[in-house]
Amino acid sequence: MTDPFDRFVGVGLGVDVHSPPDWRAVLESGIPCDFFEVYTRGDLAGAEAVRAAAGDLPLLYHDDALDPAYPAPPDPELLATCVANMRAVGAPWCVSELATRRLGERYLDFFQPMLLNEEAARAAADNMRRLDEALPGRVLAENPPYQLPVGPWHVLDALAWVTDAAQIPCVLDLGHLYSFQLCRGHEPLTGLDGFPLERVWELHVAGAQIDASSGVPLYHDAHGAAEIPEVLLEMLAEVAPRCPELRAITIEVEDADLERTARQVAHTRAAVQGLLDARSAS
Amino acid sequence: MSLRDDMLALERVRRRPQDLEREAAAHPTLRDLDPARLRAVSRSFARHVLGRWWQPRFGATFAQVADPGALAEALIADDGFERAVGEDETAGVLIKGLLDLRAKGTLEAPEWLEDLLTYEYLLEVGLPHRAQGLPLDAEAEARLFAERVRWFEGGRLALPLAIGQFAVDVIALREGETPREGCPPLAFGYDDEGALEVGLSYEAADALELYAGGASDAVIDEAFGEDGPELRAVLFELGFVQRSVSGRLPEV
Repeated sequence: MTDPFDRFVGVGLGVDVHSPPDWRAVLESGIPCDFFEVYTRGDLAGAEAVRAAAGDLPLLYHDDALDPAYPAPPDPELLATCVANMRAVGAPWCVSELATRRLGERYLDFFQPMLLNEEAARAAADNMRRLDEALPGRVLAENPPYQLPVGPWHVLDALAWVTDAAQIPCVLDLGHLYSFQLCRGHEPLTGLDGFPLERVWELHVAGAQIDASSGVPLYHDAHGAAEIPEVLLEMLAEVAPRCPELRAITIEVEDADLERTARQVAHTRAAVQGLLDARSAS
Repeated sequence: MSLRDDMLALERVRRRPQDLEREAAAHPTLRDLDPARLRAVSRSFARHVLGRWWQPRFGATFAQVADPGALAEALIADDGFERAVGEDETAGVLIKGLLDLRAKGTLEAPEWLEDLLTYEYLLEVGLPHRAQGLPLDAEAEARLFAERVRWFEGGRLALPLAIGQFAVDVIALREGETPREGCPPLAFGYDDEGALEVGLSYEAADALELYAGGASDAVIDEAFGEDGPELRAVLFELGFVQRSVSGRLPEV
């Protein structure tokens, strides 16, 4: 049986089984959706429920507990949970952000993105390689969001270094990329020309708020709790056709209602209509 | 310095932007941080934690503080923040931090703020955590309760009870209403089914204290005279007091 993600599948939704919108309601809504990327926070029953109800809809898995940016091997128990969830949804790959939620014994309750230097990239690459060997499918490194980047590298250089060292594909989250560019005062796509776009299997967009009330622009990655900024849709339209191995475009919609979900899907599909048309034609 | 040390330093300086110069001296990777961005991120983070960790449970308390955002910044900067249980599930970070600020005289808020915090703590943490066997921060709780709350159990009490004495109408404040003058004693109990809260007369509060010491019905009647039988009946009906082996309950 062929894997639907061997080619460009289309535009899907990142849904959290513990947050709105209710993924069952999305399935019944008629909102165009080519796949789900499932967030379960390790809840195996949630993963099994989505798989059972989703029918033929292809599913991906997004982990948020493996902490690959922390300079220590992934927790074996959390790794086993990820393996079980991936198998339950039948995902060919797992997305893992280059960030950490723990520092030693401390749980931070927020993501600290990887530092932008070679030592941090080496630690992240070691972990991503471990994950790629241990998981039942591939692991895709995702560039994390930044409000306070530390280190001399550009985030795209860090992502290129890690994916090259670990020999893995990646997710390019365009909102997260924009958050970094805001910190450094760059244009939205600065650094992309030298980036190995053939490693991008998946693109992410999501709602966000940009708060400049303190005089410093801060990107708040709000997902479904805000609209997708126009600049992200422009970035998507520019970047997606340049990724020769692109298989999936995911809108992370947790905390959206169905109305906003439908709107975000319409805007995103419009931005990549050419790719969707080409897929249908093939 | 190891990568892990740099990551820890970044976490600290994000909570204490005023320490940037000192941290950067020890962790050169932090030297390029923009102080203005760091301050903005720190303020934003404090408000994020406030909205996620504390406001949902202690909204009335924060509503009485002159600058809730500044309080949140002080709380995340405190060493105690590093020892938070989950999202400060025990409220230990909030309680110790707020009481320390109060002791230093740097928190602008009504003098009865601790009464309101105590009330919200009992409803949100103290009682439900006891009922569900969840962790508590005994040190923070003892400091907060001080002269405000006393726990009673044993004797003839049917369940552990806390009696709270507050200087302000904490119930109205919690509901966002104008507080009436004074506040009657409040009894708080819990069992496997959950928690309860009941307003008491001062006599009933005293009677519960006697019952906790194992007082007989005769002792209650002697202490409260002609009010004794009705007090006994009410406290029994509330489920606070076990029936005396030899006692006889009056009709309510």
